[in-house]
Amino acid sequence: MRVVETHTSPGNILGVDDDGVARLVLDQYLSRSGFRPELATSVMHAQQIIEMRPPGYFDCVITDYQMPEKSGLDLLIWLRSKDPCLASIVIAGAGEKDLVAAALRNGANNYLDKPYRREDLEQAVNKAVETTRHRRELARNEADAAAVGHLQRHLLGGRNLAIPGKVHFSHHPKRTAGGDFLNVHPCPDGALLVLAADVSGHDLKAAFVSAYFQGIVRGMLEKSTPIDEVLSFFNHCLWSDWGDRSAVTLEMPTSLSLCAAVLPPGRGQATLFSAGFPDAQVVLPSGEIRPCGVGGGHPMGWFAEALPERKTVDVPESGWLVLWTDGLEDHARQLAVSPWGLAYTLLRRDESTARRASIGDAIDDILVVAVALGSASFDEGFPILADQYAGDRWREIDAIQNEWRNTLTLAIPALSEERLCEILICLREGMLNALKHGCKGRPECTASLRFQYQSKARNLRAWIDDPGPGHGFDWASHAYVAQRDLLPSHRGLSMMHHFASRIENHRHGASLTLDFHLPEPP
Amino acid sequence: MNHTIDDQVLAIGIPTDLLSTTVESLRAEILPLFDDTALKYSQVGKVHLNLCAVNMIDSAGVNFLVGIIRACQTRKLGITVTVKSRFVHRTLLFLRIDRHVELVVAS
Repeated sequence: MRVVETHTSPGNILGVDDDGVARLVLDQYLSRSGFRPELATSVMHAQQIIEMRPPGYFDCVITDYQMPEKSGLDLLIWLRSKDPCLASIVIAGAGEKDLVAAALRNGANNYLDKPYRREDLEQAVNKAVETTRHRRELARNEADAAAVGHLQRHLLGGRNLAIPGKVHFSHHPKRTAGGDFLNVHPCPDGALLVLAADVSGHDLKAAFVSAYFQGIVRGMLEKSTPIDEVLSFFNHCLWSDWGDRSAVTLEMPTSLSLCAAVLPPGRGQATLFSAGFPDAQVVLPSGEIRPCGVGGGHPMGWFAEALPERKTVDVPESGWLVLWTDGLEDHARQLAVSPWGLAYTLLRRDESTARRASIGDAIDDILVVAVALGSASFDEGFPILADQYAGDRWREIDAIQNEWRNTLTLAIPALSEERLCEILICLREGMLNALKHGCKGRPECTASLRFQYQSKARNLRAWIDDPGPGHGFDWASHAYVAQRDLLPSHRGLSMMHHFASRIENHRHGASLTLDFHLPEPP
Repeated sequence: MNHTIDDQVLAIGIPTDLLSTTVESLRAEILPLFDDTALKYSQVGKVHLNLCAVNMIDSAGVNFLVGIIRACQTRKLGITVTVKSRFVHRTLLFLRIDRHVELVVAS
């Protein structure tokens, strides 16, 4: 337990000067102003005194600049590593402006010209003491937040590592600790419960509510309480215990968005509970992505009787169930990448992931969870992009292509620029055809594009689909004539067939599957 | 787009990728350069197309390039195309454009 400090004393001050008269003046001035001074005759002497005292004993150091052997600047440099919160004041003679500037660059908070008046000294020392105490309070708060964040990471890691290969997750609080959390609970009947949640806010209050809820969930589940009762109880807690219902206030109450998935043994179906959380998605073995249809709604804690939406969905024998908080979508938008590409990058968690994904710039906590169904593994394939484009967006193809580029370079950093260009041009040709011809440029028609990266085979698979009838164009015959006679048209399909490792088309080309083999990086 | 005429060579520099979204404005800029009267007046005998700033080229970009090559052929002008990007170079080779122009790879 930490005792909250109230500073009644004006402060312990260390004065350093090689001149005896100057020390005497400093001692008298500080004492008369109510401070508790100690005096050192040199830098080394000051260092000895500081080392002998408990950490954080002094509230301010006042040092002369020019001294034999070591200068006041040497002391400031030493103090910066020894006690970075401790504020200091440098006393300099007239004509020592350059020295003062150097001292200020090295951490001094203020300076006094010799000779100085007692009032000026008192004012400067009061300010320095306040600065030191404020810095120490901030440092303590940061240390406390770091401890909460450490515990949070420990709780997440420790609970989930119990199911290796099944539950993959990535958690990045915006600050040291945050409100997103994950709970994975193997039920006595063999079912697996995966609960992802996002407490409103991303501060210590959110981290506290998050920890409180995790404790409740864990305790109640271990007593075999059905998940709907757990959620109902917690909604009651948020509503009645923490919401101030007596006052009319426009403040947002503490709330919690969540999605819980109960996956029974043998699978086949999963039961989902969702409240104000982005929709859960199922990735089928074919690479197709199926939204579960439980997204949206309002979070828990807003209304007394509000319960999460419940839905039973079919899940494949092999594939993925993927959940993420809205922080992931926000950050993907910020980076102009697909949320799937960002999710894949974070879930793979190599050393440079956080740097590549610029996690430090995220505006919210990020949690992404992928539950492997059956034998699914990242090596066999995971989506890195899935999007739909209205037919009239062919005019925006450069911006769309830029998002593909960003996503591919984020998710597959070893991809060479040359291969990337080949892939992008094929997708551009395919998508322009889908939007202009398949959708006839109409905004109510949409074409879709999905990428899946199969890391084991080093293959990028893309699917382009449009609702049109396809075409009967004989690209192979045309390619020959176009080369021979320099025809200025219809080279898109030739380029796609040349650069893709394999193309499969269905519905006369309205549905394309393209494989791009990615060579080993040199 | 920039161009110069020096020693009977019309040098054209393309400053951007050759894509469906850029070729229309480039075509509008380049078309007047192939005006027969202007070419005859300046005694142009060869065209040098500099694609060193082009990193991506799509089918519309290739078709634009083919249009320039055909304009040169019609006017019996020699044409040299300089590229820098490996992707652009590979695309032009695969489409056999090198059979119709002198294709130079800039280092």
